[in-house]
Amino acid sequence: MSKRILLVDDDELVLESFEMIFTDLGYEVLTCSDSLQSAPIALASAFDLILVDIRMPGHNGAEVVRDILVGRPGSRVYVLTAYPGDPLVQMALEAGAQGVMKKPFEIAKILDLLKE
Amino acid sequence: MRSFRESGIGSFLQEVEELVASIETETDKRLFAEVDTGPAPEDLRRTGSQALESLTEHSRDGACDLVVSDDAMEARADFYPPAGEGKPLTMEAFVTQLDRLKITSGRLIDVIETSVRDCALGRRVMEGILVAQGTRPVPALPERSELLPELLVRKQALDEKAVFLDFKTQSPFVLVHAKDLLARRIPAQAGLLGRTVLGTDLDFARPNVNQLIPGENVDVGEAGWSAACDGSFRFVSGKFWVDKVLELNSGVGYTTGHIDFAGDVHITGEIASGFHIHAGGSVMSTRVIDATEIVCGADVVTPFGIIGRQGSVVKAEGRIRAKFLENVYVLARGEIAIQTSALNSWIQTLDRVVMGEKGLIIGGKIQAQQGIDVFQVGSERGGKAELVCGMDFSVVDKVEWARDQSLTLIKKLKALESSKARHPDQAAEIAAACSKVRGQILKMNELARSLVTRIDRNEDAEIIVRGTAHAGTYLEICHVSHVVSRAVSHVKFVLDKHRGVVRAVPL
Repeated sequence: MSKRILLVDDDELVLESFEMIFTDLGYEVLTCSDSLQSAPIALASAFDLILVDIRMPGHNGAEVVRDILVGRPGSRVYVLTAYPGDPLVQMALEAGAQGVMKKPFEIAKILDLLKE
Repeated sequence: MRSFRESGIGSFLQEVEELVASIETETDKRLFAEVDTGPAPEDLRRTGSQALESLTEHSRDGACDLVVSDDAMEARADFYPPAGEGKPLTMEAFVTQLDRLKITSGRLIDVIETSVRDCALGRRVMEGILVAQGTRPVPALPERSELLPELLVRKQALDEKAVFLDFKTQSPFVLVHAKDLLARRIPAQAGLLGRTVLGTDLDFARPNVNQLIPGENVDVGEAGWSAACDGSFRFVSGKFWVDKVLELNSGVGYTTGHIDFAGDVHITGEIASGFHIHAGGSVMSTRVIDATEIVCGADVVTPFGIIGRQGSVVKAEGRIRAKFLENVYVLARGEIAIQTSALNSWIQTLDRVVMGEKGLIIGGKIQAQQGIDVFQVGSERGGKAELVCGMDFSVVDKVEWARDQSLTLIKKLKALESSKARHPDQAAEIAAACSKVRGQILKMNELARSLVTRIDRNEDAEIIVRGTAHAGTYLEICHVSHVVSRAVSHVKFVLDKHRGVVRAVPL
């Protein structure tokens, strides 16, 4: 059974690209462009990795991380950002995010995380 | 005829002049076109000029005029044809003339025979014909060396198709590779006697030959002398050698052009904007390196700093040593040691980044597979930096390159797919293009997957902060992230492999 990834990002092109690339690589990919709908999707089923853009309209990434981890503690959530020094990143980490990923996404890091 | 009293002196003189001219013309016509026959003089020893004088006669025999050069190295002859009933010059008569003048050596018999025949049959004067030639002596020379001519001219990488010459490509240096022939071996030459046309032997010279002196990094072989290493060819006062080090005492600029050197490069002047330095060895600069592009096979060393410009890069297969870095992209396989500060720079190494005793990292991104040792990261006013350790950045960069290609291709694919509706008549072509792009995306994704398996990692890499790491500093060890939430001092950041987190340990 293939591993499952959820990507939350308001950039449709990033979502489409991510889905195509990681589906090609053998993963099951779900995407969500609405930050307000992302937590319910993340909680509806288990994911091996959840990636959340830190700056989105509606809920920011830190809020989404918090909602997901409240509903499903132990989820492996990483935030996507162009600036790891962004204060929201710190908030997301404090909310329980396991790490940070450079935008648009880091293939090497994702494959590394999912191989374990 | 009018008298000058009647017509004045002017017109008279003119009349005389005309008369003289008409006579001369008439004389020429008569002498050369209507020579009467007459008795042929037998004296072949007469000279050609005598023969000419006799042209006024009705008949004359063919003749020749022989002249021996002052150095007696050649004899030339004028051949005159017979006139009227005169007899042509014969070979025997000509040889008699040669004998009379003692021209015994170097006779050009074929030339003489041809000239005698052509003169007689063609009835034409043949002047200045070389009929005997001496041999010059050959000097006796010892074995010696001779530099290849191309080493003695300034090399110019001219592109003949180019409208303008890029002076950055012009170099005054003659760069050679190991085993390149520098000087040919010229074997010893035995001396040979010479001989004049009068049969006198000429002794050969025995000149002194200034032997070239091979110097450092020159090997001797059968064919001659060759470079023992890559380097810069030098030739001064008869001595030639190869410098492993290229000394640039006036810096790098239009006087030097771009530097592409196989060995070490020492620069004691400024590096002008827009010039690149490619060195097989190390690059050492005694001034601030205002870098455009430096790529070298060993170390980059400067007691001062490296300041970057847009798009500039400093790449070393070995180590990088500098006092400071500023807005520059540097990457090295070996250790990068910076004494005072790295400001807004992107630093990549497969080894460690080691900052000096009070060394600061302000802004920028540091990727050091084996770890980082720094005094201070960031500041109270900002300057957040990213410190990434543990992973082989060279392979990670390739993976991300493959990702970027995929992203570009996916954009194209989307555009193609959206164009289908607008161009139904070209559906087949669009479908074929889509299929091609899709195939390429798959290839890129596969490439990324295969590269990831080759990423070397060091989970023991540490980030040592001997002073303070300020809030906002981003740390990552083997893809595990950590953001410094508040300033911490005298700590080292390590990967907690069991918990999968980066934690700070007091020093």
